[in-house]
Amino acid sequence: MNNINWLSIIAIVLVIGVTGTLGIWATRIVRTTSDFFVASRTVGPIMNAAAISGEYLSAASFMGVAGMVMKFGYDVLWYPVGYAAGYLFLLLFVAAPLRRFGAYTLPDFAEGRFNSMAFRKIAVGFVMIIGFFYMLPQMKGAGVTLQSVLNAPYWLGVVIVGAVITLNVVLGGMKGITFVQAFQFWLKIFAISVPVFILLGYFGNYGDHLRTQQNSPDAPRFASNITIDFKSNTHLQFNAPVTFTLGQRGKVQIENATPIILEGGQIYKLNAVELKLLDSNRLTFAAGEPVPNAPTGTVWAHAFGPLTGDSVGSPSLSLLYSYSLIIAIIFGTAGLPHILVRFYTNTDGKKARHTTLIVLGMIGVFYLFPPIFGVLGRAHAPELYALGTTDRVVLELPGKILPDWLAQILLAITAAGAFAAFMSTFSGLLVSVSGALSHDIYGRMLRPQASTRERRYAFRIAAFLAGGGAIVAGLFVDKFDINLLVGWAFAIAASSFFPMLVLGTWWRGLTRVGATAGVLAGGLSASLAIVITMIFGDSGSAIGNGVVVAGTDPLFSTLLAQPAIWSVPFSFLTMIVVSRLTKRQIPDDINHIMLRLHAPEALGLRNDYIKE
Amino acid sequence: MALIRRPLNNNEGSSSKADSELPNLLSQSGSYSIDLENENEEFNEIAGDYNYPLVAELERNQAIDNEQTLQEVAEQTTYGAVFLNDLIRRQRALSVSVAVTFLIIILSLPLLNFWLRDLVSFELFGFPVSWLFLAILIYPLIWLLAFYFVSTADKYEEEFTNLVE
Repeated sequence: MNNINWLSIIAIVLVIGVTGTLGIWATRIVRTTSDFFVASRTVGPIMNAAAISGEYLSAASFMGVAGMVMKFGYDVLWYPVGYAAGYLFLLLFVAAPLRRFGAYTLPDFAEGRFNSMAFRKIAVGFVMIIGFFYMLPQMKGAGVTLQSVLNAPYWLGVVIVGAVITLNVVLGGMKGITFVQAFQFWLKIFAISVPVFILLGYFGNYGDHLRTQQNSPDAPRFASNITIDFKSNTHLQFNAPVTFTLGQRGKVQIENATPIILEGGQIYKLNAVELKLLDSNRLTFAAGEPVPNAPTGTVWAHAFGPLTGDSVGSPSLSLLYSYSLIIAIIFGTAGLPHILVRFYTNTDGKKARHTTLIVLGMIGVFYLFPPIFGVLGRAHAPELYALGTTDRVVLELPGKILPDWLAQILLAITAAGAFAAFMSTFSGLLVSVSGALSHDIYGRMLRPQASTRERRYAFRIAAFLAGGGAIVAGLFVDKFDINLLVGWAFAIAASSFFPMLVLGTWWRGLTRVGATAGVLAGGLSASLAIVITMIFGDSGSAIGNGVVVAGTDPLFSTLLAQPAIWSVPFSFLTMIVVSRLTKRQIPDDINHIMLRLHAPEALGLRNDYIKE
Repeated sequence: MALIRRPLNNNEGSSSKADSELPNLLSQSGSYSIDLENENEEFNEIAGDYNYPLVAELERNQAIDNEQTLQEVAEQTTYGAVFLNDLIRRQRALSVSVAVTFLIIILSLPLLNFWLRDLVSFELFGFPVSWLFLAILIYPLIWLLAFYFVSTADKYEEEFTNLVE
């Protein structure tokens, strides 16, 4: 879309309006009691599960998976699979005991299980680190969506959307969140599925598209004449001979040869080649020319393509990358603080399990759809490869169909869904990070004697600061794919909270010192690896995933970019070894703690928590 | 906060010791609840259901009663404790076996892709097999494993409850 799509803007405004109204309506019911209390009593398991799914399905799921499937192909399927499978592990190891323990947040659990304020503080720190990493991709989603809908520059989208959502939270607009999140879930699943059915009807079936790609040694080709502006230092990789017109005189590097100056206004014919535009320039391609930066069909449709392979250039390292990614996502889900918080809406441990089962069904259905966008996008919106905006495929592809009015409606639907996706997740994260900041840092550490008014004020300041920080950081993550950013948040959660939860609930021998050491060792080393990759990582080539730390050994670089494969075992091992060494510290009431974690409510040991 | 700050490790102590500490505990929680209440209002107003102190506080008072009951069960009904340990073991074995089953399936897929590239690009129902599995079939598979786990875990707990009662 080159002009402003008014229908999409109306749809987005509607989403904001309905969210606000629902929030106010829910607050009226909630009034004096906590929403969790109300939710656990008045909300059925389906609505409860929808709320959990609603908070979980972020910009990464809604836009990122589709964009990355389009860009990298088969390997990306591990992301949605991991996002769903993570809930299986959450169900197997964490859901029921955590609920039975009665801990509301992870810091609560850390404090209660190990009876340590110091550990609580560390847990609070990791809640904030993970929350922050998770906010970045939401910001990127916001920037990309407004770019697509308003044709606004990336930074403007980040600033506007970030400010609107932050203000909403600061002013208290995220009350009654269970109702709001449940609504957002239904909106998202509607917005992803309905367009897919119409698009499949229009473009032809899913399997046929895949089979065409699987046997194609070729990259996709432009469907119509197109002129594209490229920034300086853009890599363009062509997998087939190409002809284009150069807009103006500029410096160009072919493969790794010495840069040369090419004149503007000329037509150039090149073989399959990798170009680097050292100056910004404008290229015009005729219809039928190969699209740069798109992997060939066979590479795209098979495992160990550019996502896992290009950065490392060795099949066995691709395998390593794949495994590390799978570990990060699966175990990370089961340790995500803002997701675990939602389980408090269940009345007991058994219900927590049942709700998780419904959640698994819901997100399992959801994740069938985004890859279809990616597959269709490759065939029908290939210019996104050249533009470097595959993350926008969900927002752009519906515009390719006829009649135009239908295309406009579908565009509005997907824009609304995308907005719901980053709005729900960003708001949730912002509230939990600000809660941790104002409650734990300010209210408990800095000024325990603070009055109610001061604390309320502190919450708002915290939300303002956290939102502002996310906006500023969000401006710099344009070059990373949404899912890559999310993957990093998962890797940190997998290396810190997941081992603490699994061992803490199932192993009596885990001591305070052991748990603390493991969380610190795994969490900090994973964070360090990721920060190094973020700062020094550079796209080694046009198609690669942009995370090669230049000048390092490929094995080392892979282990830095996807740390989970070593950081998760490192965390587990540290916990076990240190706990063994500090055996004397196992609390006397450990049996009692185990009883609290695992005794079925049916025994009547715990009657209702909350009496009306 | 939801959790009792003070460890209730009266395990070795006699029940009279536990009794004598009870008023002390309650009074502690009483004085603590006053400033929590203030926090509650504040959080309720701002953070909606992210406000935990209120629930936590209600639960806390309740938890003290529960802790006492639990404590008694842990101390007095040796059978109960044995049964509970047995339950934990069974639940853990169940979780681990479902997890291992799933991990074997999912972690063998990259190896299949690695060694048997041609086999997994074989077509089934008009899809390449590897896509069909990873993009579609895996979701019902995950759900079935989860369903098996949930129903078995429920069954174990029911048996346990019947035994103890």
